[in-house]
Amino acid sequence: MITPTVASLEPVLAAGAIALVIIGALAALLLGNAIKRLAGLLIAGFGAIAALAALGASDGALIVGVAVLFAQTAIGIALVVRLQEAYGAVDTSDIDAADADSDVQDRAS
Amino acid sequence: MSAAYIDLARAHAPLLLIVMPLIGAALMLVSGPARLSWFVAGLVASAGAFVAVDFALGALTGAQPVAAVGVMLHVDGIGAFAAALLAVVAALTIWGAGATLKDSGGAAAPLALALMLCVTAGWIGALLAGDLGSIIAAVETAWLAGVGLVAVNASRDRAALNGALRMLSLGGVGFALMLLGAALFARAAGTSSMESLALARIEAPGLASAGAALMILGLAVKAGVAPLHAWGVAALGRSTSMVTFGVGALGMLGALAVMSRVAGYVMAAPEIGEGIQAALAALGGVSVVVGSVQAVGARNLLRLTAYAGVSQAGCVLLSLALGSPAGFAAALVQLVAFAAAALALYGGASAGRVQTLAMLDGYAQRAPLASTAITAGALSLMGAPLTIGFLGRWRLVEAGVGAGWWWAAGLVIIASLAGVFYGGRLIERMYFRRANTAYAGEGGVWRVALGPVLVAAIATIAWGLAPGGLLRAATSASLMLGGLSP
Repeated sequence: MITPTVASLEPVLAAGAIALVIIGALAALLLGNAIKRLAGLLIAGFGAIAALAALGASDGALIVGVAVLFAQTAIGIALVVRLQEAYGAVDTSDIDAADADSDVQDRAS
Repeated sequence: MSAAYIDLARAHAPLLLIVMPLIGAALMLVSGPARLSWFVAGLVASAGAFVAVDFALGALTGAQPVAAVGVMLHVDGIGAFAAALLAVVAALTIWGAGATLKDSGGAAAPLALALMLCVTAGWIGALLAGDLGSIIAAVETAWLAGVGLVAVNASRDRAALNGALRMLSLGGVGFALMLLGAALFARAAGTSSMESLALARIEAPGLASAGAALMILGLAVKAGVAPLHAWGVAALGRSTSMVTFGVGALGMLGALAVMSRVAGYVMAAPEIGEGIQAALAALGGVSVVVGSVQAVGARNLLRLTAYAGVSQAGCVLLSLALGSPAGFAAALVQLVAFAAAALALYGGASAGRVQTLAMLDGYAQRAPLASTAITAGALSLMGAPLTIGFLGRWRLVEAGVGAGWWWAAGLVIIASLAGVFYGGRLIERMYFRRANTAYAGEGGVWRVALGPVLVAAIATIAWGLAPGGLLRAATSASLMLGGLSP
């Protein structure tokens, strides 16, 4: 039986982290709901931080990652609240449709 | 006595360049009325531009020693050159934004100015950062400040919130890619310090190539390079001058400059250089074609300028892809050309609050100076002779043909032909059509605040006529890719 060591686990951890980045990035780019997009960003960000940890990056790099992710989340939540106030929706298809209507009205006037 | 202080300030100029805009941003929050905030922001940005130009001149001629400061900074040729360019553009944009300060809303104007200064500090920080982690932190500072700047515009038009959400989504993905790329690259190179990277021995070329490609892809998102530019049109299409200046000019310029710097370091490793060259060339080619086609089809002036910027960004990437000092020098000249054209076009448009192309009809009669600025910017985007746009593209063709890249020269010709079409359309509308709307710009003494836009317009022509100093500076910077230390 093969005994797992830290060195043998490293590629597995890194691969798992990269998978998280890919899943999160796809969710952030493809999903229509702004809150789900934000969740996708968090998954991608945590995946990247996990990759840093798995590949032995310095503490400073990890702190940078966490701090930026926190700032993104705070701004993202504020944006979602403002979108709900301004459009009455957080679904990007509804928001795009409302903007397209405004564009048509602008052109007509 | 004062000479000693000046020497001390010069030795710590890189740190000052980052700290000054941040102090200015803090001052915005206590400086009260919008006009006073604008004046203070203009003074701070001008002081920063003065320090940056003085530092770059000294650094690129080898006369300026750089102090070993207590934070992770590392100055190289591209960093010094581009930091000076960014600081000057920031000063011009902030003074220029005074003419349309009301558009941001009285209460929101100081906040918008503070965010603009944060954008400046972030990109300059990324250009002077000493390791990959610090570069990412600085890039995200600039990017999130840009998102905030776009969102502040929502008090005037709610569509700004949609643009800010797109910026956050795409930029967030870019951040994750950059972080992952930095982790992979640092693992392969054994270091993340910029000072050591230039001389690092790559142990795992595959891992290093993947890391470098991810970092460049993350930065390409922030630079609005096609096909990753979906945020640009949403954020800039119906924005105020503050947003177009801060995100469309300053933000894209900063991202392209940081990309040039990072490419300079990762391409120095012969094990991975060819792969990165191919990736940059592919991105650049796609960006030139997509940006040109979309600019030709655009009916909104701000969107047209954004698409033209995408095409110009493609030319910068093609120059970087060459991987030679001549290619990097060409990229730096094109960055200057992009900055001058973006300032002239966005500034000329915002002077009369022009957004759609139809609003340009007869613009030359209503706003002759703003029309002159737009004409100079359009000529530069076409790559017309005697403009800096021509100089940048000529340098790329020269370097490309020298390396046997004839197809790159072909792409430059495509970009210029498309530029003739969409740039010519702007000129035709301004000078050969009858006005159909009244001038909506600011009157009276505030028109003087458009001076910086005219400076940019003059620069596009002046550097085209007498490019000697600029070419020497770009060549020096491209020869100092690994750092200024001998």
